[in-house]
Amino acid sequence: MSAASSVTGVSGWQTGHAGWQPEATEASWLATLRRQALAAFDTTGLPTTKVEAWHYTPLRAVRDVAWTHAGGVEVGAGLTAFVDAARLPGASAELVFVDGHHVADLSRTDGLPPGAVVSLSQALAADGEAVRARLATLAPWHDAPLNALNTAFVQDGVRVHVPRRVDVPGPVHILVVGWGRDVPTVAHLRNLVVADTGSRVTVVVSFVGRPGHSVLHNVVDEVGVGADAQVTQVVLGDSPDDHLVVHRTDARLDRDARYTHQAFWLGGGLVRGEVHATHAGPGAEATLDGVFVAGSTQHVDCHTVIDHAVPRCTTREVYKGVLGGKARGVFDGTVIVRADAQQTDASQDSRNLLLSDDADANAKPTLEIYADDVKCAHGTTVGRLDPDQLAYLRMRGLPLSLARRVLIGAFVSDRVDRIAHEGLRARVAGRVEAALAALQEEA
Amino acid sequence: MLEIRNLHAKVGDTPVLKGLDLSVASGSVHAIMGPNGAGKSTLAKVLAGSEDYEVTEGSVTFDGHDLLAMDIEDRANAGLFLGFQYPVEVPGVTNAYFLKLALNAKRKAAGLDEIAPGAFLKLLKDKMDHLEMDPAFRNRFVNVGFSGGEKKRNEILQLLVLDPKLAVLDETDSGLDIDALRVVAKGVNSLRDAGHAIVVITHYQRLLDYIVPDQVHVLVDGRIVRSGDKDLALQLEDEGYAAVRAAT
Repeated sequence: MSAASSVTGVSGWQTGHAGWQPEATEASWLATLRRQALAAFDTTGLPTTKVEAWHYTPLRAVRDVAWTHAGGVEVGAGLTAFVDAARLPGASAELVFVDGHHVADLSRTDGLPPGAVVSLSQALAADGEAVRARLATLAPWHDAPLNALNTAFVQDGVRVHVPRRVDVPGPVHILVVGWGRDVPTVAHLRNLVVADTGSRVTVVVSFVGRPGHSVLHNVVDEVGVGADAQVTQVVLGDSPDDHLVVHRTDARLDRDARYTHQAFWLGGGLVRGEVHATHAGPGAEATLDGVFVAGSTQHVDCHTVIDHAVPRCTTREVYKGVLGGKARGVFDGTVIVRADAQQTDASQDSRNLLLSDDADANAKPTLEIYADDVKCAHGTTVGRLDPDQLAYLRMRGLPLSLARRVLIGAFVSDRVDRIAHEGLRARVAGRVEAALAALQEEA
Repeated sequence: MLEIRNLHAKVGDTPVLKGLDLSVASGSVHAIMGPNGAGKSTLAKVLAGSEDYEVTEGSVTFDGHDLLAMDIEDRANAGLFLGFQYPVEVPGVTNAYFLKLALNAKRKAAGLDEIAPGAFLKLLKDKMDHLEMDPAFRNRFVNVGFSGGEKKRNEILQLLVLDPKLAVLDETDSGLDIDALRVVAKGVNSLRDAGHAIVVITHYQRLLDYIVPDQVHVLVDGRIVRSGDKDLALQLEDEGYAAVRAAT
């Protein structure tokens, strides 16, 4: 899928892609899809804050930059060491993407049956029709400009296919590295996760990168959770602050499916984490846990839309933000309960801890209910560290800085503790702790 | 060990302590009794360093140090412990973790290394056994979902683990049934020796049947108006504060 690199040198979205042509070897259905998505993007351009879904998040930092698709990656010692440090112990497969390019030499899938986890370009080469049957089926690109861009320019990604009743032992780790070049670099990745009936898999998407280089990642995941299947998707956003990350997941839950999305946004100057989940089979359960830690001038926007289309489904959503400096955190969550979705049980909870006067949190949970026999709740809090708790800890001898650290850590630790895989939990806990320590240092 | 001279303190614009004097020697147990609003809890919190109160006059010397000049945590690490009337809930922080942090803070202040994990667990087990506490409380979040009595018992657990020189216990008996009171008193009494001092603040004489004080003080309107031996508590119980005050 190196076709997208032929748009190298784009200067602005609308003008730069004009001369873009798919590679001759690319399947015509994919070329057509790209053209259609690009045409859709052209009708809107990047969303402004006048678009409700982007109300809190200006995209100046995306719009004002001449982004370039990076050419091939040279794997040097520095990059190898960087990737090694970001590897996930206990992963059953690890696929590494650097500036949008799959780096096979740094990846491994040997822990799994052949074909279960492959790069998207490998999947296209092996069985293009199978990819065609999935690609852009869950994630709509009409009225979703970033997704349209991703569809038009997608370079690579991962296809995970877990057969019936198969339980993948360790997480599949998709390591998204922003290494950067001399010029601002954009990368579009698409991950397709298909969990067949009764299967289980954990997929981890990590965003990391080299500071001092401007990188924009626009990544879309499409996750199909089959009947009785369990998919856990953990997103670890640990990019340096000069990187921008737009990550969107579209999940579809069949009967009695379990889908768990755990997002930890700890770095990145501008982060947009979107989760769209549709309860398409009765008895499905969606759990969304989010933690964001932001300081200086970081902006983190967690945007969720959960669609209850059928009866007896459950959604549990808890997002927690810790904000310092002049950071802004957004939780904008919608739960839609359609007329047929009786006995829906849904809750949304957005809690925010402000550590500075200039930090800001916007919490907007919304319910749209068209059924009458439902249990739905939402709540938000925006507050400071509790002075009574601080005093209590200090009266037991904890220095003020330690007391603050303990209480801030306790605020988010319950979300971290819910990560089932031990190695992953330890990794996330360590990164959360580091992010909180950096935030405290700033304060 | 503790010398309080002419202590004045206010909350907001309201004076609460109005010239309080109290002397507590090492090895002694004092009880402070008095009606609601007399300033008993204020005294305890001012000693611990609460920022809700402003000291306007007077001095407090603890072990030769100017207590009022010390930060909250420094007072604790110097050996002052306040047992809360209403212990604070701390979600997300387990009892064991909290106690270990507190104990290590104290050790660090004393120039000692952190306690070895095994030694800490043994210490914690010993103290919990002494207080007849379910081991499950080790991993419960501090005071979260505890009953009133469980919270008080947890305060005494902290007291025993931290082993301070001076314990100021604010209404530790309130909310305790008679069995819990007996256990809590057993814990407090285990600290009675030449190296420790204890100040219990209470409404009721009942506690003093279990923790027998060397001296009883009556605190009314921000001042100690009368002091005596343990019989004074019995007299208060019989005659009420007004009579005792009138007799001064």
